[in-house]
Amino acid sequence: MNADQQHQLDELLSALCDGAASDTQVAALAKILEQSQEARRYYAEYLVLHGDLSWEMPARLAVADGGLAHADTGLAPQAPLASLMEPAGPALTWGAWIRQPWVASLSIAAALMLAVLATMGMLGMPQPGEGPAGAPQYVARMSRTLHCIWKDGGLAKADGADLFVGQELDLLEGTAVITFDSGAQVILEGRTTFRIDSALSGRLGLGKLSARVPSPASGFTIASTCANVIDRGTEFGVQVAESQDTRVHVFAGKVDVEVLSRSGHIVSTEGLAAGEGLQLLADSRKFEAAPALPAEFSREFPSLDDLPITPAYVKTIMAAKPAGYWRCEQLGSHVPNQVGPGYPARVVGALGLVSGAGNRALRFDGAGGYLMVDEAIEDFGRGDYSIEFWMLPEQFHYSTLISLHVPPTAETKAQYDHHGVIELQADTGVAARDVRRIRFLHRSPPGTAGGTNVFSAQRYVLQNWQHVVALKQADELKLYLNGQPVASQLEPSKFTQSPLLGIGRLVHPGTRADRPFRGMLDEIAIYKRALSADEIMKHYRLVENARQ
Amino acid sequence: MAEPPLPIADCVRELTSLQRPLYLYIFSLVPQPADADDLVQETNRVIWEKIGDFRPGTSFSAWAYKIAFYEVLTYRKRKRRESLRFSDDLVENLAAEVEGVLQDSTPRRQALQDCLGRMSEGNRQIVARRYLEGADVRSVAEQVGRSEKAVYHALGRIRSWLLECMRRRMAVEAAV
Repeated sequence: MNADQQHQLDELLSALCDGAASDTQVAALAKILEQSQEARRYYAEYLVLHGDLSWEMPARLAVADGGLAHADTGLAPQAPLASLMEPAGPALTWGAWIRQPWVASLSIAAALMLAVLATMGMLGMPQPGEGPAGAPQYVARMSRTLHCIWKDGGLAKADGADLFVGQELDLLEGTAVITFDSGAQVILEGRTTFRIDSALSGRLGLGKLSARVPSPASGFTIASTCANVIDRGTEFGVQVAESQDTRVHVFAGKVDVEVLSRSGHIVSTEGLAAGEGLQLLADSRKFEAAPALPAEFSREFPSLDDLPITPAYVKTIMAAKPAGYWRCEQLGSHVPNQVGPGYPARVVGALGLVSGAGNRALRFDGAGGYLMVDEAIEDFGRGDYSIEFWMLPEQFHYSTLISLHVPPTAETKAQYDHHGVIELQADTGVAARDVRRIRFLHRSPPGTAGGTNVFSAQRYVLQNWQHVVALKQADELKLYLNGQPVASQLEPSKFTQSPLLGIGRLVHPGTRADRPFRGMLDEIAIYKRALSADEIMKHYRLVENARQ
Repeated sequence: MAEPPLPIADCVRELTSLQRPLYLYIFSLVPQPADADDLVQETNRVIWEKIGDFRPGTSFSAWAYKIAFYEVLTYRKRKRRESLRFSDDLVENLAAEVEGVLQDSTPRRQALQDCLGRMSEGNRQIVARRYLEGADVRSVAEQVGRSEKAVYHALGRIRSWLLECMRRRMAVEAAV
C-alpha cells in the first residue's frame, strides 16, 4: 500500500470502529480489503487493537447521575460468580451490564461450567462479593503505577482505576501504589500477586509489598498462607517466597503477627516494634527474629513531594492577579497573603505545617483547627469569581474546605450566614451525587439554606493531591478537578455582601455541624474574575509536569 | 454436554484462558460491542456443548475459533436483511488474518501496555474516556472540550500511532 492508500484505510477503519462509517465507506473498505492481503492484515491488527482497548473497558459503567460514565457502581473483570448469574443492583440496567465484555469473558456457558464444577466439588466456589445484588464492592483505588506490566493486560488497572473486593492483581513488573478506602496504602513490587479482600485487608500470594497505615485504618491486615500481619499504627513490609515462607519487616510503629497453622488456626501472636522483623517457615511454621530491612522495599508513597510548587507556578498564579493567595509556607499566628498585607489568614486551633522537598502545606487533623480571613473580601462575588487550591484528603468524610460567610448581625444574632461553600461529601449517601463528590454551593442572599449546588461528576480520592477550581462566570457555576470541567449549573445571582473566608472547616460557631477537614491543603488562591479553562489547565499542568 | 475428552478442570482452564482472544476474534469480525458479546456467549455455549468433539493433541484455540466463525456466519445470515456489508468470502479471509494476529497475543499485549505508557497525557485522556469509561465520541468531545470531528480525528490518529508503536516494539523484542 502506498501512503495515500494507507491513509484512506486508516480513515475507513477509524470510522468503522467509532460507528461512523456510512454504507459508501463500508463498500469502499470492502473493495480495498478484497484487493489487498496487506490491507486485510492491517484490518486484523487494527480491529484486534480496537478490541483489546474495548476489553479493558469494563470497570466503569454509566449510571443515571449527571450523564457521565463513572465508577459509582459497576462490575469488573473476574467478578464473583454470583454477579454473573443475576443482574446487578438497581443503578444498572441489564442491557448496560450484559454489554460489558467481561460478561463475555465468563459468559453463561462458562459460568454454568463453573457452577457445575463447584457443585461437583471440583472447584472452590468463588466467594460472593459484598456489594448489593452481586455488584462488586469497590474498596480501593490504584493511586500510581510505574512501568507496570500486569499478567492479564491492564488498562483497567491504570492510575485511578477502582479496585473491588476479591480482585486479584498479578504484577509482573513495575511498582503500583494502592490506596484503600480506609486510608491505608500499599506499594506492590513486581512480581507480586495480591488480592483485595476489604478496605482493611488484602492477601499477599507471592512477592513483596510495603504498607503505610494511618491511624483511622489501624488493624489493617496483610494475610499470607502462614501469617496475618496486623497493623497497630505503622509502616511495614511483607515478603512471601515461592515456598510461602513469609518475612515481616517493621519500619515504624508496631505490628502483630499471627502465626497460622496449616488449618488456618492462630498458633501464636508475636508483637514486633520498629526495626524488628520475623522470618516464618511455611513447612514447619517455625519462626525466628530477623532484622527489618527497609532498603529492600520501595517506600515512595504519595506525599508532599508529589506537589512540587515551582517558582514558575507561583509566578503564574501571581500574574493571574488573585485577590488573595495563601501559599501556606509559614505557620504562626497567621498565614500571610502572598498578594499584599491585606487579608492575612488567622490560625484558629491546632494546625500542622508539613514540609516536603521545596514545598510546604497545611495539615488539618480533623479536630477543628482552621484558617479565618477576618477582613471581608471586598466586592468578592459581586461579579465573576474563582477559588483555587490543592487538596489531599486523608479520609472520606463530610467536611468543609472553603467557607464564604458573612458575620453575624443584630438580625441573625450569633448565626453565620453563608454565601457559599466548597465541601467534600462523605462515603455514604442517598444519591450518587452525595458519595465522595466535591460540592460547590453558591447562595445569594446569604443564609443557612437554599442556593445552587454543583457536585463533581468524578469522585475525589484519598492520599493524592488534587487540583480544585470552583468559579462563577456570568450566569454559570463551574467546577474543575485536575484541570478538567466536572460540573456546571446555571445560577444568575450575585453575592449581596462581601464575604469572609474560612479554610478547613465550616465557620458556623455554636452548631455541631462544623465539618472539620482531615488532610492537607496548599496554594489557596481567590480571584475576582473567572479563570479560563486554559488557565486552569495550565496551573494544573505546571505541577503535573514538575512531578515527572 | 458431551463427555469431555480432557479432565474437566483442563477444559475449564482452556476455555477461560481463551476468553479474551475469543472476544477479540469475534469483535474483529463483528465490531458492534453488544452483538459481539452475544456471539461470545453463544460460542461459549456451543463449545461446551461440543466439547466431546475436541481431539486432545490438536489446538484448542483453532477448534474454538472455527466454532466462533460459524457463529459469526450464522449471525450474518440473520442480519443480512439489515445491511449488506462484507461478503462471506471476505469475512473468511479476514478471519484467517485475525487468527494470525492473535497468535502473538502476549507480546502484542505487552507492546500495547508499553505504547499506552508512552502516549501524551491528552491522548491518554481521550483513550481512557473512549474505552475505559466506554463513552461514545460525542460524550468524549463534551468531556475534553473539543469538537466531535476533532475527537474522531484524534482517535484515528491515536489508533494508527499505537499500531505503529506496537509494531516497532514487537520488532525490537523479536530481534533481542
